[in-house]
Formats: sequence, structure tokens, C-alpha cells
Amino acid sequence: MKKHWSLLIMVSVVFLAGCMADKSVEENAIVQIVGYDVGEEERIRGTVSIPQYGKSEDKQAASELYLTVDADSTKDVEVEIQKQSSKPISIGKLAVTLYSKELAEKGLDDNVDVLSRDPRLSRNMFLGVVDGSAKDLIESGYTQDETTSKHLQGLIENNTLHNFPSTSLHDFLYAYYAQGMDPFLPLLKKRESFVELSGLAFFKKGLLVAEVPDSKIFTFKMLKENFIKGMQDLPFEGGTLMLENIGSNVDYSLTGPLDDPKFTIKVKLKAEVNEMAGVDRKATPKLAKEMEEKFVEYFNKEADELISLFKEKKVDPLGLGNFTKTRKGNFDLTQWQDNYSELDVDVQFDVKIIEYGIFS
Amino acid sequence: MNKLNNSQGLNIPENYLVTPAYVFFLIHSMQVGVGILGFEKYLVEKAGFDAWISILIAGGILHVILWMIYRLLQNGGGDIVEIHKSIFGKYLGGFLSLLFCAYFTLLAFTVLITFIEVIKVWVFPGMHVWVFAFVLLFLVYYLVSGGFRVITGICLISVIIGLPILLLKYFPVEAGHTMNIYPAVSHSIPGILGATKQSILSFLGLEFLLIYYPFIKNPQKSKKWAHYGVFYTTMIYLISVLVTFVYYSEEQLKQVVWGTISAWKIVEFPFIERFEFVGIAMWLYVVLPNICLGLWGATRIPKRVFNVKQKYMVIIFCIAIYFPTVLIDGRPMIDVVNNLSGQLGMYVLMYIPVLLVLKTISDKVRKRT
Repeated sequence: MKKHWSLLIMVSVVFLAGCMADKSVEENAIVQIVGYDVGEEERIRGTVSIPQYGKSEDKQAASELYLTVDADSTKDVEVEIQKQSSKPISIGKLAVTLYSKELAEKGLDDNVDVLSRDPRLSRNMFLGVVDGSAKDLIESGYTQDETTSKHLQGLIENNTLHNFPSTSLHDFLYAYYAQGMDPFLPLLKKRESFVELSGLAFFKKGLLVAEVPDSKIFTFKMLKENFIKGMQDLPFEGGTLMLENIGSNVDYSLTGPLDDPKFTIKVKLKAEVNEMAGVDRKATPKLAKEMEEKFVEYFNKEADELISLFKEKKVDPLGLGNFTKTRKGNFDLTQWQDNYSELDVDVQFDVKIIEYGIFS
Repeated sequence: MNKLNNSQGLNIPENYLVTPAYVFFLIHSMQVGVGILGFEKYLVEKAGFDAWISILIAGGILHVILWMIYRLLQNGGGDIVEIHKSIFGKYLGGFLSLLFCAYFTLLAFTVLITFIEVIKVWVFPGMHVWVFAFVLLFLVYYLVSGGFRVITGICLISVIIGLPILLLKYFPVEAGHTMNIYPAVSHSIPGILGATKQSILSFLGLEFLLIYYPFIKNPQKSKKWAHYGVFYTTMIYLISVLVTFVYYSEEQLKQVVWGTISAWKIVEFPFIERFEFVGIAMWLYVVLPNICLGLWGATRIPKRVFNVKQKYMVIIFCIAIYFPTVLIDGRPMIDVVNNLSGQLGMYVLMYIPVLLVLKTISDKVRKRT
């Protein structure tokens, strides 16, 4: 009999789990995007969009509810929004967080702390800086079938497969806390009827200090990571060349002592030229050679410009300091930072054009 | 239900014994517990990204200690209680054995409260600890009163259930920066040794061999399995540490409380977005043998010293750790308990060589007279 009692208790414990309060999707306000602006009197203005899932049958356009509040802190935004919402707020599905440029220039340190502390947030969430007001960007619907958050999430995600370097919350936190490495975020800009990624914003800790337009991002990404895909155009003999990346590989190497380091960044790019508008020549090995030289010259110039910008603003998005730290035992951060602006960085590009599409 | 064997002394009937190969699971599952979820932080604070060396050193030290334990038990005529009795006499020996009992209880208690904290922080912030602790301890009571073979079974299951979680390490590595583990040793020897001490704390658990040794059939043959167990634990720790080093930057890892759970966060599947929930739930099976074997070891000692029924001891011990579990709350207190059990574990490990020396001397003296 004794055994039966234990069994009975065990079984009832298992079934008790079914008594847990359930939550259905319609009865929750699932926040998927949140934007922060500078509010009045040193406060933060937070805007969220909450998709409305109706119980009705008709499949109409995705509708969203926008709520905007002024709050004292990032977490307070949640509190204030709760006051305006008829349903419990759930932030576990948060996919995009935007900051206005104005706020980023004041520093995001408080926000970063909240993001890294909350266990509910996904590490694959995207962060972004809005050139203008985050509120306006969220509140103008873009497409009929998608919610704003899905649209922006797709926009960033899709572009990180092409010209943009990857910028998830984890990447940001990694660089934010690392010694000798600074984070960067995509810059979004609202045009009349659409949003575009207009460049990259570079941070010194939590502070936005530099921006780079989207035309230079392809070069930056090649310096930063190995990737496939992505395109870059270049004027050539009165026409335009379009180069498509089919495999780029970057390799850092460090020579010299710690107080006078010399960096060599070697980028090997395999490419396909698939547009030669206005170039009246047959695709021959000789032409390829000329095009390769032209591209190498262009990329070298662009990379040098980027690196001198980084040196001038004293930001290190490439993580050269972090690289040095892993290679040299006695790395000293302050010494590194003092020497950073005179750092010797040699960038060597090697472009190989191997295909010209299916038409010659 | 009373499968706890009633035999006095160490003539344990054969139907209560386990085969030597199971020692692998007993050793390994007792070593891996809640420590692995967040031990990286403490290592990095001491030795930065050179802490992988510390893990290897700690593993080496543990092999030596394991060898010592076997030396002790080989001609000790049974378990730690017997050895204490023969060296220190009935009263002092019994007292020392009871200290071991206290230490084993503390170990089980530490694992329990730390795991409950993980659940509270990560999954259910508003969970009622008293309900959960009751259910869990009831389960533990059920298993422990099933006897040593049931606990061995739980250890086996826990190792098998823990295996697929290892596959998850792929995701953080994919998102990580492999250049972080470039072996440029930059920390001084004291730093690395400090981290070694920290990592030994996560290796605690093999000292239970001192108490379940008589339950092994052909104990001599279990030697190699015990060493495999320690080696396997070392490798798992090494992999865990390297993965977190790849995934986080050094300064970032110092801020992360549970390095391994936070790294699970990157795992996302279309059907489950928060994989850490699954990981934490599965981790219950990894933690369960820790509590069970801990309580079993703790209750076996009074049985051997005072000759009381182990079944009643299990009930008393379950109740005794139930109330503190409910009352303890918050990171600071849990940290204190963790540090305390770590310290004690360190002393226990240091006590083993001393005991071996005393045992050798007393054997020699006895032989002469």
C-alpha cells in the first residue's frame, strides 16, 4: 500500500502542473519594437508598437497600437506603458530596439546595463540608431502586411547578410565590455515612405562619436569579418563597374614590440563583376587586371580613410586593441589608448576577379 | 520501499552492489552540478583567458587525490568511518566522520539552493520556493530511500540526459571570436594557481567515493573507471570554459553571473526561442544526483557511527535542509553558503593526503607491535 501512496502523490504533482495560469497571445501586449528619444526635462521618451491580434476571422492588414510615454529611466518606460495598456506587457519577443541619435550622443550606458541584465531579452535582438526621431520612425507604418517591428527586423537581418556587418545585442555587448574594442550600430533613416539603412554609427563605450555613410560600409565589413555576398560599385573609364563579393577573407597580423606595434591587415577578395555599364571593352585577362588594380586602389584609399577617421575619433571598432591583448601578454590599456592615434596600420587588398556573369 | 540495506558493518549483500563501470557515472555526475553553469566568471577574475590552464592543473590534482583515496580505501577495510575509527579511535574518529556528514549535507544543500536561485532568476521570478523545495525534496527522499542502486541509476540517467546539452556549445562557438583563445599566457603563476583553486571547487564530489566504496563490486577494477570519470569531467569543463572564452570578451565575462546559461540564450530554433528554459529544465536531472548522493552519503555516516536506521535519517535530513532552503533568499546569502561549502571542500581535499600519511604511519606501527 505504501508504494501506492507515493505513486498517487507523484502523479498528482505531475498533473498539478496543468493548473498553471495560461496566457494566450491575444490577451498579451507583446512588444516587439521599442524606440527611445530624448524627452522633456532630462527624461526619456519611449515608444512601443504592439501588434493587435484580433479574434475576428477577417484577414486584414496587420494593425498596431503605438504608445508613447515619458519616463525617468529605461525600465520606467515599461512601467509607464503598462499604465496605458489594457493588457499585460510582455517584452520577451522584443526584436528591435532603436535609439535616436540625440540620445546616443548623450550616451547609452544606462540602457546597455538594462539590456545586459534582463534575462527575458534575446541576445539576437537588433539595436539601431535613428537619424531623427525614433518615435516618428516607429509610428509610420511601411507595408500593409507586416508590422513595423517585423519590417525593421527583416531589414537589418537581411542587410547583415549583404553589405552590413552583423550587429546583434550580443555583438554590441561583446564590444562594449571588451578592452580595446568599441561597438557600432546601424544607422536608420526615415525617408518619405520607407526606412533605409543609411550608414554605421561608431561608439566610444556608450557614446556615439562618429558616423560613416553606407557607401563605405562594404570596405568596413571586409576589414571586420569574413563574408560572402555584398556589392560595391566603382566608376571605371567613364562607365560603372559593379563588383559582387563571392568570398572575402581578412587576416590581421601584428609585428613589432608592444609600445610600437605594426598592424598588417590583409584582405583577400574573390569577386565577380556583373555590371560593366558604359565600358566598351571585351572581358579579357588584361581588362580584369586593370579592373583589379583599380579596385585595390579604391579599397586601399577607402580603408585608409576609415582607419584615419577611427584614429581621429579614438574609436576602435575593428578591435585592434583586443587583438593585441590576445597576442601579447603584457597588454596595457591606457598605454594602448595613448598610442592609438599614431598606430601604424597597413592595409593590403588583394582583389581577384574570377567571373563576369553568363554573358561576355 | 525500504531498500536501504539493513546489514551492519561492511558486509554488504551482493544484490546491493554496483559493477565497477558505474563508478564512472557516480564520480562524473557528482562532480558536475550547478558549478558549471557559472564558474567561468570566477576563473576569469583570477586568471583572465589563461584560466584553461588552471582547469587542466586542477584536473591533474584531482587525479592525484583520487589515487590517494584509492590507496586509503584499498587496505582501509571499508569506508571513511572505518578508517577514522582505526586511526583515531571510536570517539574522535566518530566525530571526524560526523564532520564529513555535515559537509555532505552542506554540499547537497548548496546545490539545492543554487539551482532554486537559477530557476527564480531565469524562469519563474515569483515562484514559491516552499512548494518547489517540498516537491523536489520529496522526490529526493523517494530516490534516496530506494537505496544506493537507485541513486546509481539516477547518476547514469543524468549523464545521458546531460549529453545532448553539450551539442548546444556549437552555437556560441559559431557566434564567437576564436582569436580569444590564442595561447599567449599573460598571467602570473599566482593568478593561475588562484584560478586553479577556484576551479577545484567545481570538481568537488569525488570524495563521496570514501563512503560508497564498499558498495562497489570488485573495487579494484573500478579504479580506471573513476579516473576516466575525472578525466571526462575535466574535458567537459575545459570545453565549457573555452566556449565561453570564445563567446564573451574578457571584461564582459566578468560581469556575467551564469556564463553557460547566458550562452544558451544565443540558441534559437523556430519552435523554441528561449532555449535556456529547456536547458535549465534539463539541468534538473544533472542536479538531482548531486542532491541524492549528497543526502545518501550524509545519512549513511550516522548509520555507520550510531547504528541507526538510515531511512529515518533520510527523513530527518530532508526536513533539516527543507527549512533553511525556504528561508534563504537572495544572492548575497547564497554566495556565502557557496563560498563556505567551497572552503570546506578544499579542506576535505587537503585532509585526504594527511589522512593517507596518518594511515600509513599507523599501519606501520601496528605491524611492528
